[in-house]
Amino acid sequence: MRTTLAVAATAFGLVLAAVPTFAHHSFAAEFDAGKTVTLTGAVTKIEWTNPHAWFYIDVTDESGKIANWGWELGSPNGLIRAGWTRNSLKVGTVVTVEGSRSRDGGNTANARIVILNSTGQKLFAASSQGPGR
Amino acid sequence: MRRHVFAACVLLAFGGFVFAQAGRGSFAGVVTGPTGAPVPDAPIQAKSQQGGAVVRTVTSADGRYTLASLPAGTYDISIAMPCCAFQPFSRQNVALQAGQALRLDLRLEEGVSLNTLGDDPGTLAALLRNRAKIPSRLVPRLSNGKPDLSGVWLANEDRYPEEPSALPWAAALAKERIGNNFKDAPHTRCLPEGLPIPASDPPFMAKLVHTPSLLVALFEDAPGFRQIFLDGRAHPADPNPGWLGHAVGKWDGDLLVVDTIGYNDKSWIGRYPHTEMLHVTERYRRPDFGHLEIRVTFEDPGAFSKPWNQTLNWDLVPAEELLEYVCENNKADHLVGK
Repeated sequence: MRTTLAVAATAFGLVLAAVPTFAHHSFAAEFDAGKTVTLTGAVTKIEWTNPHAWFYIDVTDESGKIANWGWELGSPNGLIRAGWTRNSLKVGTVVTVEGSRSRDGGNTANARIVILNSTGQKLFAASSQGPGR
Repeated sequence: MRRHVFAACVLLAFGGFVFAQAGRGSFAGVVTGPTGAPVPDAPIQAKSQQGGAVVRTVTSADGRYTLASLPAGTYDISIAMPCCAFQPFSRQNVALQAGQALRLDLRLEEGVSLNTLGDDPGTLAALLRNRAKIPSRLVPRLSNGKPDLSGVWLANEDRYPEEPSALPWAAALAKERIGNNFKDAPHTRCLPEGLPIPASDPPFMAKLVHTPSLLVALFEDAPGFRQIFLDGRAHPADPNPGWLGHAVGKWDGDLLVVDTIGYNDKSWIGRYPHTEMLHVTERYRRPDFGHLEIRVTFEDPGAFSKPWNQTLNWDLVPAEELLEYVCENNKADHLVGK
C-alpha cells in the first residue's frame, strides 16, 4: 500500500459558506485591504470616541506641501482593555502609521500599525503583555 | 525487514503524514493567513458529500492539521474562524481516493474587520482570557436555589456555525449584503447588531445581572440593556415590535429557558434578514463557574424553512468591566458597496 501526495486539491471554488454572527465592522465597505499606505507626521487631533477612535496627522511631502490624514482605530472600549488610554497619543507627537486606504479615495485610512518615532514603540496593539511591548 | 525499511523511509519523506488504511484516506496540511503566517486554532470541518458525515479538527500552534481515516469520496472543506479577522473559507468537491494522503494547504483571506488596532478580536480575546483568573468555585445560587448567571461574560462564536435553511428571498438578500460589503448593516448606522444579545463578542462584552424575578443583560451597543422577565408574566397579546423583542424565562431544573417574540424586522442575524414572526428560544446552562453555554434557536417561517440553531459559549471575565458605548462619532457617509 502506497501513500500518494497531491499538492493541490482538484476542483475547488471559494464560496462564502458562513459569516460571523456579529460582523461589527464593515471594513471592506470602507477600506481597501489591497491598498496599503505608510505615512509619517505629527499628530494634530485625536477623537477618542465610539464607534471608532480616530487620530489625524500632518504629512509633509517632498515639495513641502502639508496634507492632513485621518486614521481610524477600533473602539476605545477595546483599546482601553488592551491597556491604552486617551492620553496614549498626544497632539504634536510624531508617528509612522501603516494601514489600508479608504475606498472613497480621501485622505483617510484604517490604522494597522502605529509607531512612536521617538522610541520605536508600537502603540494601540493588543499584545499579551499590554501596552509598551 | 525490507518492508520496515520502506515504511521508515516513507515516514521520513512525508514527515508525519498519516498512513491511510485500505479504502480510507486523509487530508493534512497547513492553514495560513493573508500574510502567509500560519493560523493556529483554526477549526476545520470536512463534510462528506456521500451521506453528510462530518469530521472536525483544529489546527496546532504552527497551523498544521490532519483529518485521518476518512472514507474515500468527495468532501466540502470549511473553516469559520471566530469573528472577524478572516473571511470564512469553503472549498467544495475535494475528491479523496482510497489510500490517498492528500496534502491540502488552505489560505484564509482577510475578513470584514482585519486587524484594525483596538478591534483585533482574536488577540484581545486571548489577552482577556489570560488575565481572567477564574477561581475554582461552585456555581453560585440565587436566593431561590437556581443557578446565578450574573457576571461579565466574553462571547466565543460558534466554531462550526450552522447555516440556516433560508427561503429564497432571504438567501438572495443575504448574498446581496455580502456583495455590498455589509455597508448597510445596522451597526453602520449605530443600530443594534447581534441576536440574542448584541455586542457580546470581543472587543466588547456583556454583563448579566440576575435576580429571582429578572435577568438583565447589559451590553455595549444600543439600547444597552435587555430585560428577561422571570416573574411568570406572559408575552403581551400585541407586542410593540422592537429590536430585541419581549423576553420571558422559566426554569427547567438548572436550565433557564428564555422565549422571545415581538421583534421588528430590522435586525440582521449574521447576514440574514428576518420578519416580525421571529421567535427566539435560548437555553442557558452554567456548567461551571467560568462558563456559560447558550443554545439558541431562531424560528421564522417568513424567512427560514426550519429552525436555525446556534451554540454560544461564553467565558467569565471577572477582571473586566463594562464600559459606556455611545455611538457619537459615526463616519458612515463614505461606505462603498461593490
